[in-house]
Amino acid sequence: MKYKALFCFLFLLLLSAVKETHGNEFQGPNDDLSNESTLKALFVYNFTKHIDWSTINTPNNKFVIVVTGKSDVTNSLISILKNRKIQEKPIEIIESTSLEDIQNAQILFVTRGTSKKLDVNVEKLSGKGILIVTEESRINAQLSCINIIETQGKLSFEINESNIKKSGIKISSQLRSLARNEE
Amino acid sequence: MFKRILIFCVFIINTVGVWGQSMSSHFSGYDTLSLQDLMNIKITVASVTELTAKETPAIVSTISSEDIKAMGANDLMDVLKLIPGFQFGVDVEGVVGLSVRGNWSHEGKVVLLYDGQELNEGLYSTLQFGNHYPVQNIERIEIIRGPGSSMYGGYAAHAVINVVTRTAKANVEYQASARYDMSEGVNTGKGLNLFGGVKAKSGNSFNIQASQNSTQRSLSKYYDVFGNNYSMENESWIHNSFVNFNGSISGIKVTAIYDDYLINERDEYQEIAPGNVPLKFTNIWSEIKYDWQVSNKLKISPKINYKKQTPWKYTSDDTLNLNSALFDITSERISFNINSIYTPTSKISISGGANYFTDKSTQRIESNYFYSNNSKTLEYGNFAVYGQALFQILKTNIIAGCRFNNNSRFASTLVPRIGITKSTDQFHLKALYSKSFRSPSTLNIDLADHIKPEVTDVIEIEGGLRTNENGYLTINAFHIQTKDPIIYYFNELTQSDSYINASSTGSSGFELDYKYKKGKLTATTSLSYYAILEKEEMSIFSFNDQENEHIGIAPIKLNALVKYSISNEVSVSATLNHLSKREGIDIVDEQYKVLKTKTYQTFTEINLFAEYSPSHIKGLTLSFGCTNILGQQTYYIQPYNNYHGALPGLGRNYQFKITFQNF
Repeated sequence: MKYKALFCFLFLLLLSAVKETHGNEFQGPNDDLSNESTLKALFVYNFTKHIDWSTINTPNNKFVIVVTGKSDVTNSLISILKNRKIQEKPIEIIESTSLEDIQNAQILFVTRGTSKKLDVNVEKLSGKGILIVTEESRINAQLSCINIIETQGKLSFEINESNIKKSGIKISSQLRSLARNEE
Repeated sequence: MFKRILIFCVFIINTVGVWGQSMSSHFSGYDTLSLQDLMNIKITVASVTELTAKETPAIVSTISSEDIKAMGANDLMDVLKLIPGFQFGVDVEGVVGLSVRGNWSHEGKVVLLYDGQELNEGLYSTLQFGNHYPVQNIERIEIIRGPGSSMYGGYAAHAVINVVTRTAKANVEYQASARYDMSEGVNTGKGLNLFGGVKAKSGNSFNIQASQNSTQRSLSKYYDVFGNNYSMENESWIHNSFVNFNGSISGIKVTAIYDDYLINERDEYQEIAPGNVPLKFTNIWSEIKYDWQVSNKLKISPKINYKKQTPWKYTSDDTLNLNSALFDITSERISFNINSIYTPTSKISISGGANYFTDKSTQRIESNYFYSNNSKTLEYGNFAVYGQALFQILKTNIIAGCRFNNNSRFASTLVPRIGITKSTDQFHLKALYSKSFRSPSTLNIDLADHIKPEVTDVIEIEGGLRTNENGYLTINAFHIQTKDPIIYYFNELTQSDSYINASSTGSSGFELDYKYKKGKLTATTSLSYYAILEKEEMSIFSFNDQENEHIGIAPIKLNALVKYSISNEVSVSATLNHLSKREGIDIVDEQYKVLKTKTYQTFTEINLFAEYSPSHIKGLTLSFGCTNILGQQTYYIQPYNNYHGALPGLGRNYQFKITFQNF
């Protein structure tokens, strides 16, 4: 009998929680959402919803994301994009810095500090429909299409319109409106 | 009790299930998170506070929920027996405890944190294993296989076991599982485990887990040290009711755990009882905590804990068959804690805090009083401050920390630790030195005149090497020396139980661990070895003619876990637990002189499990397992010389389990 009150208390708490959450939009698995690499991977995934690659002829039947250098972002991308499709294509994620791999990619994620080491002539990537995402403290004018930055403990992103144009992809106006103004 | 839990949980699951159905159409995991949502989430900047297992300044094992499933585990003992250096032995009265790296750690040397709650009981500070501490809802278990006192206090001299349970990750989640075990044609176990949780976008969440499990310890005969025996079939049922609640509202976190553990036993203190004796442990833990993120660099977390326990309880109604004295003492602790983490740069982390608690124990049997004050109650206070700093220099982690503990009933203690770790993709290295201590428990204090905390010095080094893209090899060596170990003895003068500080004890050895993962195959193997530091004269932990090992603890232990996914629907796994020869008491005379010791031959336990999750019934999993497939006799040997016979465990055992979940 003495634990009856405890059970009633727990039950009421649970009921109140259910009541409180009704009508809210529930969020996805977010235990790791405060993790920087998870969040960046989710940014990349969300970018793809606002980008049109349809004008680019790609022989590849996969959607390829190349990550330069060893990075936790690779694991986060694999974990988040497992069993998903982008642009109706299965996704392949590889860590590489070779031009051959990069030329076949739809997204090139250049990890922090590797942009200078990247031995790729950016001009060769022009018009190939490659979205180059960087994570530098300042946007790389030659390289970045989109740069993810951290300010006051939160992530946001900047768009380099000229590089977007060079790449041949099209981005939505909604994505532009969410970006920090750089140009 | 069980009916009440069952009705309660079925109702909850029905309730959350209905809501889950109504909400599930809106939910598709990460898809619901827009860029706007993502831009409002605060990140934890990668810093030295988030070290990987290879970088952490401790020897660690991490067990995932997938590992637990592959182990076919029903309780925490099923998991811990596969951890390098961990073995089990009997204490008294059917209670099984843990030894670590060759040292009996049962009384207050291993702390078990279950969702942050310290589960050790308050009178002798023990943990009780076997059909205890359910694992069905565990997300992960983090184990420090070495000292942890400087951060975790006076119960962490030999190891820290940190259990983190699953919480709902998206709107409404629930799980229900039932199990049935059989051996030799009779029922040896049954259980029901339920979980329900909700999480709102606001971050508020509520989760509850309830379980009721029953297991027979053994069907074999138990022999006491005088040669008497009885059959344990239907005389060794262990029942456990466990309810765990946690909730979070606007950053305030509340945790409450209820645990009722009942051991039916006859093996008693030394002699066999004439009939079945129920031994009860009833516990409630609760916590309220707030994480105050003062800035990006500073977090302060105050919390208050309250626990009330009635362990080792024999009451008059239960003890018609009992020779021992009645025992009914309630232990209460209220604890105030403040912890802070300051990360001035991504290369420096400083954490620290203070803790104050009061322990109050009350004799509930009218004729019983505490020895030390001839009173019905015994109280004391304890204050501790602790801190540690972690620096990253040249990609090398350096840690230094210490804890100062002051207790109103025993001497103050200062335990420092220092460590250095370095890790790359291909290898890692660790060099660690820690002092740790064991706080005398309430009844240590009561039954001894001037008991001191025992202090343990531990030196550890570890190296790890990636053997190829699929495998990683780790080896560590340790040296453990305990001064003034608190040991039990029977005081012939006062004809009562007592405790003293003995001279010293300890062990040294190594542990080797190899992990392999390729495609659908995952394998982990480990080998552990210990030897005692020196021949321990007059020790209760070894016989006089033993040079290298402690009583009841095998010097060599070999473990393996192999899992293979045959398809998306079917997976199989196998585990191995092999112990080398052990020594134990066999026969004593009427004056308790050991007439004969016994060598228990090598023990090999192989367990096989299969799991089937039909793709056409989403959420359903059927499991089948056969444990101890070789049918070798399991023995829990008392790891100190206190005249208790080896307690048998189960032979070959079959288990069936059905699980349904919506995540």
